[in-house]
Amino acid sequence: MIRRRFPGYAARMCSAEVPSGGLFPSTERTWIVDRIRQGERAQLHHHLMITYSGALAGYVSATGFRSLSEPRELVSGFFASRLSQDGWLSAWLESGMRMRRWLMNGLLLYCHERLAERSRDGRTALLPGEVLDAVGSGEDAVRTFERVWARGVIEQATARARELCEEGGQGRHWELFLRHHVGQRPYADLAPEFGVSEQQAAGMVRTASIKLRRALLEILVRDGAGEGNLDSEIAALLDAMRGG
Amino acid sequence: MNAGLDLLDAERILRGALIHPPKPGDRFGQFTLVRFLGQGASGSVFEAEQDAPVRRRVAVKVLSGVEGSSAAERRFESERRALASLAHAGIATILDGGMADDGTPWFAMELVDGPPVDAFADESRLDARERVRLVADAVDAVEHAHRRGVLHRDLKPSNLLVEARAGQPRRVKVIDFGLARILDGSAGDGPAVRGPTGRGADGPCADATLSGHVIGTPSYMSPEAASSEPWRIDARSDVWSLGAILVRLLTGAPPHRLREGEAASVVVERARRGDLADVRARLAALPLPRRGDLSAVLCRALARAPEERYQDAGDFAADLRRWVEGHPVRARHVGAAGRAWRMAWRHPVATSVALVLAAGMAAATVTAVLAAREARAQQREAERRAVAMKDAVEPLLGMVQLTRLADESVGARRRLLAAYEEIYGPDDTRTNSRRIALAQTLVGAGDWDGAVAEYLRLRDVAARKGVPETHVAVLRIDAGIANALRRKGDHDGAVHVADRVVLLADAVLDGCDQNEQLARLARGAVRILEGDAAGALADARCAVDLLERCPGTIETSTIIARSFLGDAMLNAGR
Repeated sequence: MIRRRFPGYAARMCSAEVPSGGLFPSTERTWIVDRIRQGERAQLHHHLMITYSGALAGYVSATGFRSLSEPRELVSGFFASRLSQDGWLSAWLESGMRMRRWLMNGLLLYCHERLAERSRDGRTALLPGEVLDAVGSGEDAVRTFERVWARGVIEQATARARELCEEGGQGRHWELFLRHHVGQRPYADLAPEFGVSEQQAAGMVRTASIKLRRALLEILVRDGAGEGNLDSEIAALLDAMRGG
Repeated sequence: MNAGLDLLDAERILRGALIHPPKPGDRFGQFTLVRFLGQGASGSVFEAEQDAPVRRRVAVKVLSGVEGSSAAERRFESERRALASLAHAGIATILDGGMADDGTPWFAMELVDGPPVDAFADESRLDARERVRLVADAVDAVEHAHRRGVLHRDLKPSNLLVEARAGQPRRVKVIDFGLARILDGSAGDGPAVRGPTGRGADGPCADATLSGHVIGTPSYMSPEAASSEPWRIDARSDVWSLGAILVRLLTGAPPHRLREGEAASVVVERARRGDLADVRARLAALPLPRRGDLSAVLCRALARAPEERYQDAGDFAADLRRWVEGHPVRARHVGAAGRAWRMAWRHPVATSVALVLAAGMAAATVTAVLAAREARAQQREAERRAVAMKDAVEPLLGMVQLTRLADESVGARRRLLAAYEEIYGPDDTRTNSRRIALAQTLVGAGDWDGAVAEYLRLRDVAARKGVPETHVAVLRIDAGIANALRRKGDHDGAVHVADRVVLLADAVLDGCDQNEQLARLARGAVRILEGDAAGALADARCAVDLLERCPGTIETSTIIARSFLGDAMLNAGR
């Protein structure tokens, strides 16, 4: 190991952060609570739809409920119905459930309500056996949901991490990160290209990794994850992507 | 969104977010990690072994990557810079530092092998004096850091370790500067971090904590730190935390303790309010020598408003050592008469407050008016009738102040006192009440020597009857003497007596005696004259607070105290 004396590795940023350990931060979960309490629902609804619509649509696609409506439309209807209800999100806070589980359960209930409505209207959408089939395929649907959701989280986090690096004047750090981790190129190759030493290249990649971790943390904590479990959350995302 | 991100890319990106935490066996420069010691504010600390050029054990701190926050990097860098700028026997020395292959920053420092100060003090069964001495040593180290422009901001018992090696004097070491703030351009020897200048050249943006976040450990957090206003945190906030540590060492619990089942936010709120009633009560229950002095020192260090605290750590350390060595402490100290006299000319408002206090301490002027009228109306009547008349009329005269009648009232008071002495005898409580009234009337009339003489007669009576020095009646007499002496211009004498009253009152009273509070105001008035605006303000706040909370306080006492508080605030520029 080659030792260097204190290069200027510290990123200088001045934006809201999520500190931990001996601190009392407002968490991302609190961010949701604050949005609810302060009546800033539009921002919250936007976040929920961006983060979960794809996964919920995937879930519907993998169940018999897909015959109710086009999955994206069904999910939009679900959000429109539930987010307009006072206290629906407050009930989530009290439930202690992960947000994605809460939404999935909510969507399931919403689909049953739509089925019941159809029956009342005399429009027989699904036969009883088909309803059972729809519910019975839940396990695969959940896996699909998790896979799509994990993918969405990574895409969102990747975009946010790049943004964070660029805001901090570290666009090259992100570029190096992609080439090293996605392109699988060693530091020995990359360092001359970027005009830095191998050690510096490692430091730059690490800085970008931290930005990515921060971006992941933002999303996962809003979903209800604990702030100290990022590594196990990342492992769970990897599992979910592989359909495990 | 990266719409085109395929599964493999997404997986690789996710793997790139995994940062493996350091573990025993990992090497950082010439150091091999041996065992995990703890998690600091900015990273993980390991015991490590250095093999070259010398073989020794050190501590290696490695940045934790788990929080995914660049705040952690900033705190780590801040700590490294802070330690590099400090050289004090009470602070662990930085030895080396750098960056590992994967870009993880680290630094090595002196390994402090010892328990936290609270565990050490308890296990070693140290007496109060030794505990105070330990904290004073820690304050010295923190003062050095302040002089080098470094605020610690997370002082608590677990960050003060005590090394006690065989054959060597024990030493307190301040550790974990992970939340430290460095003020740029202040690494010289001067008092770089002092008073309200703590905001620093780098401003709040470069701070490890941002507005809206609370930094530190709640039980040892100063009121301003608990108020989510990091720009208000300065050297005096560290002074507060050090005072809190001493409270923990002396009473077994910090000023704002986390009780079972309570959320940390409750303690933060308690810290924000800065109420010290519980601390005072705990200190008052300690079997300590010169408890009042130590209590005064701690109250000064823990004052809610930073302006009322020791303005730098050095002053705090000096007062702690004065207590250890049995000398009078500055927290109670009042200066020379000449200086006070000059200040009196510069502060006519304060002087007038002192006059009001002199009158107000026992409503002397009011009773003087009573006596004048009473004497004119009843002087040829029988003594018993005069007493009955006084009792009926006195309450009605509470708001009247006619000092022009003072001369007449002195004569009336003397006649009334003579009657009481004859009826009840010279040592009777009712006679003593008349003598107090006479003494107060004499103060109002400007006959200060006469007033002191009457008060001293009362002291003689108390001594004959075996009344203890700490009895409220004696304290009231002494408070009267203090006022008379101040009116006379004998400020040293006045301060001496007033300090004694407050000292004794602190030791024996529950804080709900209005005479004690009026004595505290008297001392505050002298402090204004003497130029100690912060001390006067602390006295006034304390007196108002206690008077307002005490059942049975007469309204005039509170009015007097409130008006004095206003004056004290003016003098303190607030």
